[in-house]
Amino acid sequence: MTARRYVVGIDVGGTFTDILAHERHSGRLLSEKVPSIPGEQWRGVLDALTALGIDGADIDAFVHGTTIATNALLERKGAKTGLVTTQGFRDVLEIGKTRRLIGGLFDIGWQRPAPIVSRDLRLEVAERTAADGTILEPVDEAGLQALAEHFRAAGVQSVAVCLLNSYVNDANEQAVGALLRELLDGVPVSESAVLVPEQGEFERTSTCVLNAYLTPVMIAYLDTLSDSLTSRGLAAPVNIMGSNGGAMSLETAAGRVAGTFLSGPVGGVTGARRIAEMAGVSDCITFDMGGTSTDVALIRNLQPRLSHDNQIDAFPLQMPQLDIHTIGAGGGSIVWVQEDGTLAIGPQSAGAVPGPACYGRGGREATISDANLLLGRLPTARALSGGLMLDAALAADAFRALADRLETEDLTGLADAALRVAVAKMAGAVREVSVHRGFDPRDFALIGFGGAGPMHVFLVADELAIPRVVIPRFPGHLSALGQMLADVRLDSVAALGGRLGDLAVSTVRERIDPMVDRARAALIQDGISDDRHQHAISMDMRYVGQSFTLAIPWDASDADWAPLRRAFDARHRETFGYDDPQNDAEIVNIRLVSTGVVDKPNLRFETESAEDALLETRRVWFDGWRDCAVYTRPAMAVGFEFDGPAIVEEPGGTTVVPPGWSVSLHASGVLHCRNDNML
Amino acid sequence: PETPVNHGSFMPIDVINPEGSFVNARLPAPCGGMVECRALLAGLMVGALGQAMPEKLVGDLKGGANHVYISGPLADGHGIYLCYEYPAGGTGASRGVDGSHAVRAFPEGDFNSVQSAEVIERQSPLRVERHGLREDSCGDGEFRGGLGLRREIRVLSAVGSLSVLSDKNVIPPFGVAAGGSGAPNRFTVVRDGAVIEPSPMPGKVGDFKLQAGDIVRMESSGGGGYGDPLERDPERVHGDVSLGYVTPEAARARFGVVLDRADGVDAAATRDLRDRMRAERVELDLQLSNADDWRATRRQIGLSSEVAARLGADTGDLIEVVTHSGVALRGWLAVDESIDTGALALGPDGLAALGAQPGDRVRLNRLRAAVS
Repeated sequence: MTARRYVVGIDVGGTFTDILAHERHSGRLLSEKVPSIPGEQWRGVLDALTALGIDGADIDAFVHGTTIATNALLERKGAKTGLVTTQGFRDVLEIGKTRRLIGGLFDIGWQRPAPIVSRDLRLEVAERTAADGTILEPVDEAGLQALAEHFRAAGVQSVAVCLLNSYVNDANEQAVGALLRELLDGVPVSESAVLVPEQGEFERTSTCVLNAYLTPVMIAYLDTLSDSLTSRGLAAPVNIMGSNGGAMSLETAAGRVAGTFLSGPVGGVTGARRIAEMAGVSDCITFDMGGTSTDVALIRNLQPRLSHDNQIDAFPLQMPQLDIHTIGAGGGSIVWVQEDGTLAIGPQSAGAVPGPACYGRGGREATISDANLLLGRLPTARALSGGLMLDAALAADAFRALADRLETEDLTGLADAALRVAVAKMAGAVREVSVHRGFDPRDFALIGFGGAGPMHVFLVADELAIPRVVIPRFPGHLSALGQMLADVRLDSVAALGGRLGDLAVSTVRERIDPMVDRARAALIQDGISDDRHQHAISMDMRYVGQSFTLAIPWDASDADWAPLRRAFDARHRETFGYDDPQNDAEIVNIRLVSTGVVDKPNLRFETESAEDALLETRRVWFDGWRDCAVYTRPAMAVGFEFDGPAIVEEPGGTTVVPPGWSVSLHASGVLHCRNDNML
Repeated sequence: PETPVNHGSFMPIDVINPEGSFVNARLPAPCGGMVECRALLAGLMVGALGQAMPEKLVGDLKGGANHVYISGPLADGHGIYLCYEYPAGGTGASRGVDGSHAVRAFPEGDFNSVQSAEVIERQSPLRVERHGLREDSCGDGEFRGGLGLRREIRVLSAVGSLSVLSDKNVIPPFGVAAGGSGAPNRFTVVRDGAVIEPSPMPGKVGDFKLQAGDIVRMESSGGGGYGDPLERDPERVHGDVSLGYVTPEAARARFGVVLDRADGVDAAATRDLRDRMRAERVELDLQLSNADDWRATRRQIGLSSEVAARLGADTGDLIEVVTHSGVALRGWLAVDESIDTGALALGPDGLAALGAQPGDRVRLNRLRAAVS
């Protein structure tokens, strides 16, 4: 008997927990979807394993995307956190550089969100490091003991330490951290320069505080998860997705919680990147629509964009993250009437429980899914794959309540209007990652996935005149697929600050060598042998006098700066339309991306059913009721072609192809869709 | 503010600004400090709109931009450094809402007003020694204004220069609906431990010579308050004290709240103190006089010596007239024995600015010393 061995990816979304398992001997992909359990994400993970019937002992590799950090922050359910700063700087966290950072323009009643650490728990210690790294004043240890006593009395559960200029020399910061660990036994301590050795005390403090605030929550979650997985016989290491698009070990994740905010959505981007590669598409925009939210990201030359200066809620977050834009509109988003009588969508979602009204589980409010049902885009005569029968009468009841408020009889028109509002919102998100970053969305293919993505991606494409859409196989499980395919990744950075004219290449190499050594050791500790390591260096560069930088890849074997300088000038021209060859350029930071390459399943998507692909023809609304073919995807063979209007059903997703689009099933398993009217 | 700005947003607005006025100057009138003028207009609009829409009243802001320039020679002798900032202040309070601390206000856009200390120290022979909130600088009120900023930068170069262009260093940001003023902007130099005024005219400094070791101290104003500070929920005052935004002394003197170290608010003592403070308030009936009394650019408010004594003020002190519905009116006290002790006479413009009628009862406050 062949041993069954699996590689597993599990994505915990706001509504559903998706699992995808690759069965090594057969090459088959198995998928399931179970409701997410708010507050107990680990239970959804176990339920998903149970649903798939996989024994923990048969799992070789396990990668997991979690929204624990994001949820805890948005609900302000992190730990009671203390902050230690240099004398004179305890208010940096609250004031920053005096920006509002979230809206408020022309709003007299705007109030700044309360800082994560309240002022009574932000304490100062006498010490000082100069901008060149000189220690002007050592840490006042007596003062620090009093401070620790204050924290203990206040019941502080986690501590952040951010001292001025620690990005140049963190000796004082390390001394404070070490002493606090000793004085406050068992309380986790986050030091700013360990997380972000970059200039900028506000961004560094904010990131460090976010990390400290969420560390106890994350540790508790990871402990529970790993205990319960072990009790299921799992022996393989559990990896967590990081915001940078790579995986990391539980131990690493516990120390870099601020690097996991996008743990959920990045799986979709890495999965879509792989699918795009297989489908021969190098430039695409990912459109990942779930039950609660929609995430979009731009991929160019098969590279997702990375951003270093991020913000979550009102708080700066200086951690490398894939450039993903999220809006609160998904299939379960609630449709409601605002005070002024206009329709709005979300951000409230009916979630998995009770779910949309048409699920018949007690949901009474109209959702986007109910709108789709009223327009004929979801089946009522047959069960969805997964066994759920949808109830059109309940969907109609939910919309009738809105119709009464708006004094209309036209439920179809109302459902169509709700979808248009949702599509406008989602198109705005696509513009955000493309037009606002200097890219024309029409040059990119939209990849539609997530439980609700394939049903709406064409509407967004039509809205933005995007002529190409790609629908992957298993669209509802692409995030889990991305997790399954994720390499282990470690980002490191060192502040440098020097003009090319003054910097010797050898000096920079001397800075890089220990970074590489540390990264190598960390990857080996995460179980990846060094024949599988890859290290890529880039420099954050600018012209002297500028304040914004561009990341320029650097080949460490270069003998001088000339190739780097040429690459920088070229990138500057490309990004800003000009360059400045007369001006000296400077390196602000060295960035190192270290990757531990893991074995990846060889993906094959095959025709799984000999049935006729055409299930039925039914009436579906597309600016009027039209006869529409409904296909089942598992029965389609490579080369299968059809035109919109059409609907494609498969486990985990329904694709709605409007009139004007032509579709063919590509050898890679994706549906290639084009709208020749827009080409 | 919920809708995106579009053409329709401006359709209800007509701009009437006759040439030759402050906001439409005729050549060769000197112009400059655009932001200072714009900020004054924002305050004026709030006051005027507040008479029609009291629910939209909001405490005043820090005035203009608070331009601060610190410069001097670079250490290597090649060229000069320039550190340019324009520190934000506290925002004004509005109905039901406390102002926010040291942050861009609603009419100001959203960009940095100060630089990172680490950037300043890297680029200039300067050391930032404090970047913090200015305790007690809020305008009092049932809803208090936000706190201003206190920032200290030490000069490490042998010599240096300080220039400042800032408004509301003498007449502080106003409160509304009987709320109090924010603390005024203030820019000083600390030399060998002593505070020096860098200019005879507060807020207007041109090329003050700095020495190595001098500390430039920037203190931006707090936002104006909304409503009567004696009506503020004592628990909110307690919250401000426990976070160190307001000192226990200010809680007592300005909000009439007595705090007990262990138990928080002492309700009985607070009630007694507030009753006593209300009884000690100076309240007069408005009368209409023929004309507003101006001495050069300063409004004069005449009071009898008896009333002046109750205010604890004398001729030349800054005082304000507050009502329960509008913006405070400020002026300079002129003690005049011929004045009726029970009444306050204001000219037609003063009454209009207050939105008040003859016979209305108003309260007088002495403003905290603008320059201490």
